[in-house]
Amino acid sequence: MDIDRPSDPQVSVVSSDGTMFHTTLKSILLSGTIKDMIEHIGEGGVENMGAIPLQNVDSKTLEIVIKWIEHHKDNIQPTSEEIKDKTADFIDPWDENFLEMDLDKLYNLITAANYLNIPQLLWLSTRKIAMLIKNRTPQEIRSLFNIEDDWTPQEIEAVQKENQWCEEK
Amino acid sequence: MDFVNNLPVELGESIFQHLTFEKLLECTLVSKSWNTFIGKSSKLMKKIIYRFYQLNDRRFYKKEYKDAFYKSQRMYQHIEIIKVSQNYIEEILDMFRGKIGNVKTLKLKELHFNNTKDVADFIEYFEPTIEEIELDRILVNSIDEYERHKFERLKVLRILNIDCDINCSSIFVMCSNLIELRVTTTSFTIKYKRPILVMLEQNEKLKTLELSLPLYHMILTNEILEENDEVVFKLNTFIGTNRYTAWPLIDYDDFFMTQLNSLEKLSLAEVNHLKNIEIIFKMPKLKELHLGNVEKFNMMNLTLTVNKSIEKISFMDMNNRHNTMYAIVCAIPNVKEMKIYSLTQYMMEFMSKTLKCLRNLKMRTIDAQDLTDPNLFPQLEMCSVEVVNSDLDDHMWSIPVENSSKLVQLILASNYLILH
Repeated sequence: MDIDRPSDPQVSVVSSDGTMFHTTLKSILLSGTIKDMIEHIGEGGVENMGAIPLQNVDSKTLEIVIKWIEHHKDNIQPTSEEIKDKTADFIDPWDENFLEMDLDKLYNLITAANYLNIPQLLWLSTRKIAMLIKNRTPQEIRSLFNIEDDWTPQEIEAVQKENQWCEEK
Repeated sequence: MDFVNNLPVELGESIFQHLTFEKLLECTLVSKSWNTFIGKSSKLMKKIIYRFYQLNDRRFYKKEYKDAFYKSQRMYQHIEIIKVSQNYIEEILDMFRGKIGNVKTLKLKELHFNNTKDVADFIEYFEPTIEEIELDRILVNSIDEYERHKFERLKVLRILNIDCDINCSSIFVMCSNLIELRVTTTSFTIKYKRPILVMLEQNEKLKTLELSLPLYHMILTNEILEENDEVVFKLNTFIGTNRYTAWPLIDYDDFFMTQLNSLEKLSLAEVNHLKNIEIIFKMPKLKELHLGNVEKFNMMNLTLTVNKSIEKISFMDMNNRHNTMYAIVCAIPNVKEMKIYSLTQYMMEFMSKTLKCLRNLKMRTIDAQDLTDPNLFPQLEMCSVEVVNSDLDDHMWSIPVENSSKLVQLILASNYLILH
């Protein structure tokens, strides 16, 4: 390898609201979307490449994403195929802690992880919401997500009845 | 903020996919949009079966139940209809009118039809999308010989426990894309072999085949080979189940020769011909082997080809003589999992030394006094024994656990019954 060339070159990305962030190539390659873009440029072009515009990610969310990819840049990432059947075994406490944020931020993170194609981050962030649902009753779920209870007593009884005939596949 | 209304559909699905089946159902109660979202998601509805169970005059069709199902917008993909009286089967079809387009798997169990045509008409209703059908204990009053139905999408077909005859299979002769076929019967006489033979001739993609005696006798002996010079399919899995004890010596050699290079899993309830057991051990891809009673081979001088691919094996030899056991153990150097009836002290010592890859051992019964050797199976990770035969002054309990063999430690840690 060329001695002058750093092994993990700097890369810049720009959020939808125009803020520029600097990170490293290794980190940003966790994003399948950006990896595809960079592969089209060819490797020699990375240093001369300008900042990558990310029109679907705002600066607040991008900051969070960058924090995550920089922490995980040396970890082997599962593909979206591998993660499909994954059941929750062990969650890295760092990730657990990282995901402590309000719902709006979490939704933005999910959307960004999806757009940037970071399967592990998408899995973790959607799982986080599922865990919020897991231990709540329907009424508690309604208040958590601010959902109006639009059932009449007869209607909800009908759904309850229907559910009784359902079995696990 | 409600993600169901605000996130793209596939992201909402990704969230719900982390939930168990029970929790997913509970989520349908949150709001109308949650109920609709889950019910219309083909990914999420994969987890849910809708079951019509034990519907009879007393229980069926209280009006509100019927209304609820009509109004329901859920796209059920898996339907089971079990123990429903004949009068209501037509009504169930009525309920599905307009929703049929989504059903991928259909299981019918313990139902009674007038004739095979009625069964066919019922199933044909689901034909546009159906991929998997299981018919279990279906009673039919009369048999109509006709073959007008085509099930091209059908990948899995199971016709189980047909007691009068295997006539139901005549409905399915026109399916040519099966990858799994299981037909088991409790009846000894078979008039309608042809439908099964036709299915076997048609389905080149067939990978898994299960047949009970006497069906597998018919397939495995040369009946199929006479009609067809070449067997079209190459199976990964063959299961032969059996309900009859006194069955003559049968040589399945010709059939096994056609499947020699493809079989990965083989299960036979009855192997009684020396040629059969010999050829089984020559199968180069065989990973899993389950044999029923192998006692008959105890009388013979059995030598088997060493098979390095077998990882999982089970067989029954209640006589617990050494001949067969010894021959099999010598032929399976890479076995990881083994299920047997019992082991003598001598066999245990021999196996400890021979089967270096063995990690999981399951036994029906064992004598406690045979377990004194502290070097038994040091590499074992799992062991279960159902019954331990034990004398009162037993060695097994007198030795401190830390000095006993790995085998004894694993047995002590498992659930077993002591028989004095």
